[in-house]
Amino acid sequence: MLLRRLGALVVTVLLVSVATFLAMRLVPGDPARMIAGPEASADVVEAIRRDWGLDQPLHIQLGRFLAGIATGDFGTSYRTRSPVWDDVKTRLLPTFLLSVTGLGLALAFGIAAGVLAATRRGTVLDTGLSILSTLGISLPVFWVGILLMMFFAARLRWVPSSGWGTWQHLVLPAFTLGVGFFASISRMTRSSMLEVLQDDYVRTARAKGVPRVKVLMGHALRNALLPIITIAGLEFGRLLGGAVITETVFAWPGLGTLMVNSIKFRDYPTVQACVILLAICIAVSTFLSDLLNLYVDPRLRRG
Amino acid sequence: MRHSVRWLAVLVAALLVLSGCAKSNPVDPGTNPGNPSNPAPKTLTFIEGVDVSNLDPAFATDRPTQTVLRHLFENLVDTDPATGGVRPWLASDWSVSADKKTWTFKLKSGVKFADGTPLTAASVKATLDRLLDKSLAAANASLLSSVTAVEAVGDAEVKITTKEPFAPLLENLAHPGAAILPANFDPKAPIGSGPYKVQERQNGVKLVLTRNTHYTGAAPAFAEIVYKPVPEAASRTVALESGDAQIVNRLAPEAVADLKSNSKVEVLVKPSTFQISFEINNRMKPFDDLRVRRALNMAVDRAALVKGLLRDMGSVPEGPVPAGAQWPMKLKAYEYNPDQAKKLLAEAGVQPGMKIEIWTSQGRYAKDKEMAEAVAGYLKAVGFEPEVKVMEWGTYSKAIEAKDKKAALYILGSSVPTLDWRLTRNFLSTSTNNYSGYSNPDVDKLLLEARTVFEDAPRKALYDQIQTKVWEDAPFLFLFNQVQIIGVQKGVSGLTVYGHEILDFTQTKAQ
Amino acid sequence: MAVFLRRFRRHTSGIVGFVIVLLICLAVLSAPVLTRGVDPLAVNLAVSAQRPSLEYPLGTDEMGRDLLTRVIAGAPISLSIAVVGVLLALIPGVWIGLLAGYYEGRLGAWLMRSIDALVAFPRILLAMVIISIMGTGISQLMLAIGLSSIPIFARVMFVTVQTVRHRDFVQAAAALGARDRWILWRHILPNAFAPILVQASLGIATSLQIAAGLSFLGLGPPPPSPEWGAIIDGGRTLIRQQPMVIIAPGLAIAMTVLGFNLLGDGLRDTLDPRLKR
Repeated sequence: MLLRRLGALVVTVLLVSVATFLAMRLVPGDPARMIAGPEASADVVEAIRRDWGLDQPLHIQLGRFLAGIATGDFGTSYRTRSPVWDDVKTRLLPTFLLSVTGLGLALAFGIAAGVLAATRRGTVLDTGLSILSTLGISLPVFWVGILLMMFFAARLRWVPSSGWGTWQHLVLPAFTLGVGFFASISRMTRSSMLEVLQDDYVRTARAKGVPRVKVLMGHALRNALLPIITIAGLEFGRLLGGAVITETVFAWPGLGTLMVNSIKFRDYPTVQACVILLAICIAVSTFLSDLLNLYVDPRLRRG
Repeated sequence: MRHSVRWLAVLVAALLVLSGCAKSNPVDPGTNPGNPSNPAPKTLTFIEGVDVSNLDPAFATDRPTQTVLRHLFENLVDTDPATGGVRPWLASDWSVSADKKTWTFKLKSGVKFADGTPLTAASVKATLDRLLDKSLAAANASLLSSVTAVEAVGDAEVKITTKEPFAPLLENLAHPGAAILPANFDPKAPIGSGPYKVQERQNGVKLVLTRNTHYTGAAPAFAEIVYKPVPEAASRTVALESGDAQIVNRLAPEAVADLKSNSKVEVLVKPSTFQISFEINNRMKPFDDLRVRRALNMAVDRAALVKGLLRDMGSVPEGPVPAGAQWPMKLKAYEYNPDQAKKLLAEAGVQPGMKIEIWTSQGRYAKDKEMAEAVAGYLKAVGFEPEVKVMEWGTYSKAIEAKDKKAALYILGSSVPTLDWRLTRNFLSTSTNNYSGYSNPDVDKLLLEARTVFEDAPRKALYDQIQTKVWEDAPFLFLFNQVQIIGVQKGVSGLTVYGHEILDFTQTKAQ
Repeated sequence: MAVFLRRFRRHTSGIVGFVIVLLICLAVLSAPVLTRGVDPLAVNLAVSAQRPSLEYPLGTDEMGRDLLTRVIAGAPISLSIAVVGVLLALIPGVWIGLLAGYYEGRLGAWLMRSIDALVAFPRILLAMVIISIMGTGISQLMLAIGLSSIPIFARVMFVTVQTVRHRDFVQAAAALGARDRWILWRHILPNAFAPILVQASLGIATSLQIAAGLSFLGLGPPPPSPEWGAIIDGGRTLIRQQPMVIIAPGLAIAMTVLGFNLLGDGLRDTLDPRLKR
């Protein structure tokens, strides 16, 4: 199974690489102009285009690119002029830390809120949590981020306003990231719990006199976890590259921002490297969430 | 079933531990500018809007990177904002041959690079040859497009030969792209002769500069400069309020009013060479008609734009070259007169209801999209039927290069401080950067003539003529002059701000 | 039907959701009437970024346009972006997940691999490709949002199918010779109803957030469109002067999501016989 997954991973990465390669070339824009800057004359732009091999036919560029990644060489960044891998590798730890912490906060609070809402269905608490999560996902991320920053960094001076370095730097961005994600986890948990609570085995357990908490946490939640894990796995993968607004607001050196900036700069090699890394991370996180699902629900193992 | 509970607990605990372990470096009091118990910090923290792109002068085209380069390297000559001319830097003196094609520069003696090796004529030759090297394909190669040969005479003299007499060479040599490098320059470990050297670089996080002990000039007050990129303008404002940096560049116009009431910070508003215009497609009918172009310039209430959108953080253009550039000339601003504009349009035979496209980038220039929307409103009022097209910068910068573009007007800023480069690229009819298609044989002639005049005063007189002609020809809808908005903590003094948005911290002090 | 109505009537939050959605629909339909007299596109720089006042109940945006009018005028645009965006993701997503989950093996594996690839593919790049082919506009925005949201529905569906397909009742149906289509339609789809519904109502919020993000990059609807995401983006710099520019459309999005959320809960509770109380 692991081997098959590994094969699938290679296919996914290849698919994404080629798609990204083509997409970047399909999008209008001129990397040579971006390197040269708006003030440079056309002959300078032309010289740069030749120098980077951007005047070569597409299939030759693609061939070079694929040959490069086959040997683990992502090329040289157009913007920083250093090996892409050097630029990308420093982004991995911050990206991972931010996603894991944001996800962790959202899972902890989201599952708790979801279970609460499900067991108190129809009460004020349920409605209140529903409104809270709706606001969480609807209010613009950068607004939430800046407000937190104004209060905790500028007013109270508890944490630095932005940047990367100490664990204090992580607090605000992780929280900001978690807010939006909290909504989908808590909603999913609530809905999933409601389903499960009606299932026969839960009723049976209750009827047999198993304590309520035990029923909830053991029987019900365990079975309700399936879609939550799926969503969490998927969102985690997406957070790695999709936390761009949070990263931008807090000047967090993440992969998502690097990718977006590189797309804007038409820094083809960096974009390609970012997307490949993301594809790998996403495939790994879906794999892990599938494994978790198998663990939680043995019925799946038969497949 | 108890498994899953325990498993959840473990997960949560692991996450907490992980988040707690994230490299908790204790904050060094010397690097904490917000700490009041530390009256004279050794470290200057400077926040910019973007990260440094790369530290190779040949490829540095953005101002933030050039700001850093100014602290690492020195040029042969330096621009002198007071006169618009140049002043000695690494070269103590220079002269031009009788045929005006050969320049001789005498170098200051005793200058050393940060690794202790001496800066000689050979270094200068190597630097300029590198920039000229076709195989390097340097972004700043056009600085030396006139140069045919560079020759080192002994250790202290350099001869530069040009194809034709080319007076602007001198100011081009003052450009950060022509900074003098050691012969064995390695862009990965850049070494120069400036007051600072690179200590540490963390991509996207910070760049740390420390004093260059081999520097022969007066030692700068700060032992260390930390450059940090914070892309979001609102976050930069908070960073200033939090005391996370002594100097924060590129504040949003809106922030200025807020920060006024803050007793701990001060906002500096300085002129910029950045002038933003809606360039007019001079190739397109009816915009090849001078009356129509003038009408466009009269249709827009710039004062209202500057007040409403820029919160007065900008100014109405009085000529095609703003203050802060080499030799700006103050001309009469276009008056806002929609009635006169309508009359001119009618004279030119423009039918009301004419559909035009206005192109804009988003977030490239101050309020670019908003400016486009507002200008569209004004042009609608004089009878056009404008449609605003917003494009992402990479797409946009390519689209405006096309000769047959559908845009009648498209936004573009010009920030080059030196007049030959600035005016030639925009207004010389054969220039590859002349996207508007403006063509005036008189202007062409004057631009080329100015290159052969080597004394400042008569050369400036020629540029005055050019500026006047261009202003009258209205090739652009000149929109506004940008300003630089820099926030500093109270007590920070001695910051040098150049018109082309380069900052110099070598004289900067903090109490 | 009558049973359903009777039961739904007793579901308070369902009713609240229904009322909210009804109000929003009314606002959408009567947007031209509600905004009459005030042009949501009329620029007036003299009153740029004003705080709420009697004349401007929510204040004005940066261009001096009445914010309340813009939020109302934006409702039809934003709602259609959100709903179409979600549908464009939901329909293919559900089918891909369903097929991939039910027909395990090569087809299923391939489908899920392409879904993984789609997640990894950057959203802006997708939007840029679409825009470079089709130009900027509302429908391009819908397409970009829809395509990039397919994976979430596909994944949720996929996992649900996998859980359900081995359950006794499905196995029994298969053993009794029921055809695949019948099993998928009758036994598997209803079980996936709840999680898909949750994702769909949340998807409305995410769609509009993405629209704001794309606006920021210059990939949003062309100005002066009062699309909510575009309004929010226009308020980025006004976070202190006139935060209403961000809050008002944000709350409009929240109300919409809340309405659909509650309505969705109500519908599910009343339609799903197992959830009787």
